[in-house]
Amino acid sequence: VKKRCFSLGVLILVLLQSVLLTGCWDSKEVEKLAIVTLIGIDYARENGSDVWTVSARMLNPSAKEKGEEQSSGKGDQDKLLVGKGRTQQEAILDYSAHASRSPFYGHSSSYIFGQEAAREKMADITENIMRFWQTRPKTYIIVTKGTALQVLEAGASVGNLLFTELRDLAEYKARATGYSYGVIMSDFTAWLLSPDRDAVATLVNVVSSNLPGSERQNLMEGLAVFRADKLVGWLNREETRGYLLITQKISRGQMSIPVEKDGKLFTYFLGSSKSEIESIVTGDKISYRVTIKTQGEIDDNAGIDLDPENIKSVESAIGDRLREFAMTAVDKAKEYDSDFLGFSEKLHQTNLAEWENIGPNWRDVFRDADVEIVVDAKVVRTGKIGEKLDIKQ
Amino acid sequence: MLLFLLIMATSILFVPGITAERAKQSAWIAAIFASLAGFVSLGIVSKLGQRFPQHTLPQYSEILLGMTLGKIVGGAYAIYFLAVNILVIREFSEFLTNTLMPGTPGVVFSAIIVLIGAYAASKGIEVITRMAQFVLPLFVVSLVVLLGLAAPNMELGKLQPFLEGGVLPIIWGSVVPASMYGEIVVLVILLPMVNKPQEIKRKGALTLLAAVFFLTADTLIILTIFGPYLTGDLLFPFWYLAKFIEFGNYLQRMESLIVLLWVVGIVIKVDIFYYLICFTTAQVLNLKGYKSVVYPLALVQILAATFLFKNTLELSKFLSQNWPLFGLLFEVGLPLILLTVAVIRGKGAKE
Repeated sequence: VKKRCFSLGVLILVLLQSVLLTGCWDSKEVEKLAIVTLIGIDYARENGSDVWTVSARMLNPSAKEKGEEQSSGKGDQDKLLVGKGRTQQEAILDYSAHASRSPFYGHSSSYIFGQEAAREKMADITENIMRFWQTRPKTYIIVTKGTALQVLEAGASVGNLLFTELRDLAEYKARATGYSYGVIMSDFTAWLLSPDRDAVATLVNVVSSNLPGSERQNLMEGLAVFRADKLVGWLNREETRGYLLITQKISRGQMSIPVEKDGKLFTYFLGSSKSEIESIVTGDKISYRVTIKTQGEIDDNAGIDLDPENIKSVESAIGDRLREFAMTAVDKAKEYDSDFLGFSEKLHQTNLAEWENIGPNWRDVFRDADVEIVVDAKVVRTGKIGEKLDIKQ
Repeated sequence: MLLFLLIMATSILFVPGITAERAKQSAWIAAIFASLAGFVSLGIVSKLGQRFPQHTLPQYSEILLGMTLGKIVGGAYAIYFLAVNILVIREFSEFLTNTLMPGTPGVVFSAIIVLIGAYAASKGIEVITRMAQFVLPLFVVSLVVLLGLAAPNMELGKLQPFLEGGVLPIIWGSVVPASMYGEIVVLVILLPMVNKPQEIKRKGALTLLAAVFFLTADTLIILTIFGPYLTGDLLFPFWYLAKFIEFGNYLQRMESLIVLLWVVGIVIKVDIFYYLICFTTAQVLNLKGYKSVVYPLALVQILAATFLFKNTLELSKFLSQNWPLFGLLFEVGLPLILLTVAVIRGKGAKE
């Protein structure tokens, strides 16, 4: 009898384990899931009350089956759903109601925020996303100049699916080409929380298409600048490059930068860059020095003779151009009164006494601080040929 | 080894968040500093063990303090172990319901782990130890893999400024991990059962060092990736770290590894404490064997773990504010008093 009781006990234990294996109450079959690939959040104030519009692109798992693909065509692989409500959750529920499957957010590549939402409600939205258990820290934070819905409507331009396109652009291309920078959830939230730095977010705009067959397409270009939790402005392509040069370490870059020397325009192909910010305190004046080191190559040389002496002056011309980029970013930061370049953060990290001294006025102090930028640009390669091809003219 | 799992199982998930909330970028120092409590506790306990090599704490507290007082101390320890276990069970179910299965009632997880614990406890300490031997490599390997994969994203600059706000936040921040390192106090019961008690001091110290190493690495890596402010606000920073690890399309969603790590660790921890509760209770009540109390205690633990706290925040607040004092009292305070009494009254074997 004792032995039988024992084996019964073991059986019960084993059965209990199987309960855990299947996921208990949370058992979800993949056929019942709608995989949300992108989420767009828009906010507006209409007649004195909040109106949230949440749009989502949902991947239909069965759409990839053979045969169906041909009939439904390209654009139908992920469906666009839109919901409206007075709170974010209400809006989400509103679009979920249209879908027969329950939405699953574990694979969404980015959150897209409309201009108005980023301007007014960023704190609330961040809170909501961070609390949600399916959110992943490497989700991209994208802001657009219009509404997020337009971006989702415009769809993918080259790839099949917008979400992979945006993810790959943000992950691999944006920083290397200097067009933009893929800002991830955990960094963005950390910036919003930190007492010494302001946030930026990736900017995606809907532009009129130059491709046949589609009217509009998305372009990842520039950055959105926040001051505390409010969107305050944008960086254009040059300022974005300045931002990247100051704050990021670029490797395997593909940035082509036109530089002018002696009236001739040639291209510097920036391959890698490193930067360092120093804070200098003299008396009660704070200034910063940024040292940027870059390496790159020259492809089209516009007839400039690239002999060793000449390359020095070419390098200094490149350095001047890069400094201009960086300065435009600094000027924009001062204009927006938002220290997204991390100068105050550096001061906080390296000079604690001074930081405690300036305390909550750090944005004002940054605005008055002098920023000196030193660029050391190197030309390390000139491609296949040496100094110059002597082509007869 | 057993003790390593004991300490690491819970602290790995909770400690970085709680210490970073208070000590900010200096949280990793707090993680090291806190181990002091563990070493002190280990020292006292092994001293006591040398004096009473054949006795467990409830027994020698009766010798030292007399029948009534000794029973009270022994009973208090039974309650302490019970409290630890209830907290661990609740942490386990909170973690799973918060991160993986929000639709499942927590009581299910509590019930399952308590039943496993009850079964293991009824089989005795040797079974649990053998299980730990098997589980430890899994635990360490998944830990090393996770931390190693996250390490390339570290930005050491985020650890600056060094010692902002003075030493006080560090001490304040180290209180919680201190109470977790202090769990090495379970040796007061386990010491007489160890085969080579003379080695336990060295081995215990090694265990603590290993725990310090991993816990500091854990805190350091999380801090340098998420920065002190985000880390302080996260409930389970280590879980978030695992989600962060992504290498293209072929290496991602590592968090399932954490579930493995966490569940095996917790199972061992609950087993040990369960065993200790039953054993201590039986000794205090002068019962023949401890097996008769195993199942009644299961009910107590399931119910307490389910109804003692209303939500995650209450648990988290209790863990970070009320628990350390209570825990350290049993981990350092009481053993110290017992040792003092033993020295003054000259009881037990001389070294």
